[in-house]
Amino acid sequence: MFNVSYSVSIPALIAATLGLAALPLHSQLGPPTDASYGGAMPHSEKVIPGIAWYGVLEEGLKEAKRTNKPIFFVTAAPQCGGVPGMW
Amino acid sequence: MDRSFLSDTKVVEAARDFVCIRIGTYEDKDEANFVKNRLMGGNGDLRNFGFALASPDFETILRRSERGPNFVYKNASDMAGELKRLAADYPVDAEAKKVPSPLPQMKSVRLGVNVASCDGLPSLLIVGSDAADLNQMKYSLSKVIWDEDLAGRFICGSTKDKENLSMIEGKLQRGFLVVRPDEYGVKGTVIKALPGNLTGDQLKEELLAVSGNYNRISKTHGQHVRTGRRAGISWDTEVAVPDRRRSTRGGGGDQKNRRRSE
Repeated sequence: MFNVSYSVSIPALIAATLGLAALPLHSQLGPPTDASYGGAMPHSEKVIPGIAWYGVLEEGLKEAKRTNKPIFFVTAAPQCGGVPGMW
Repeated sequence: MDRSFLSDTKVVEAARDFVCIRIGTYEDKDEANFVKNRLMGGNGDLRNFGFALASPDFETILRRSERGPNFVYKNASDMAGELKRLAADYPVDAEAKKVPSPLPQMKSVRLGVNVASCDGLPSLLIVGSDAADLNQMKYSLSKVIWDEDLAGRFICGSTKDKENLSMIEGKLQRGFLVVRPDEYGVKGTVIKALPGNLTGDQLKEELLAVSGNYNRISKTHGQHVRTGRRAGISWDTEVAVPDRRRSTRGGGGDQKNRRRSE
């Protein structure tokens, strides 16, 4: 039982190791390949309520201090490969 | 990032107990320095994406990742659970609750229209004649924009300078302009112009109607980039985007004034 498991897992282990080695350190997920309606609502054709983001850091930090709410922080580039209109 | 985490209703609900801040990574020098100093220890190139949960003064980082939430949490429920647990440690100031939170808005009309295009949402622009006029309308809007059925439906921006509206076509008037961004977020068209003196109820009703009728357009990543490049569409950033092929963590790779991202 052990031998069977061992012989089967070696190629998979090598493939997985090579695959990981090919990824740069701290790499992100690759861009999505399927069609998306955008942003945080990729699957909804209609506009639905979602997270309301402060887009100016200073204004968000000020509001967090005022309310004592913790901060949910995201930084993202509104362009891909130099082309705007997609995260 | 796995965008579906951020659209999960449990995560959206739990995020209401946080102040949610999403900045454009290369869009502001001071913000870029903040990210470098607070999240990266002052070293290395800015990454395209970053995620953190922090205390209200941002002095304590509760969770941090240079990858999407899906690298941190097993699933959206797991993420929502942590958000709820963390928020419980920070009771909201009772006095602060009496005043509506300020309008969540973008740094500029230009960036707001682009982000709206990225998000597949309408942009909501407040156009005032001067600072006082603008502040009055922003305050009116802030009283309804956080309502549960309206929150997150628009990407807001404001201006008192008509020249900032040069990328917008349509009826440019004082008040609230709902704008449909083009595919690349470099232009926009006014689809609804509302006067600045509407009551809160009127404003909410109008905004719900226009967002309810808004048809989102799907995009496919590779095709979007290819057709954008062919059409000569590009985006100027305030901060140079690092060249990922050469940069190393902490090594400060070549910084070229071009707009490349992962």
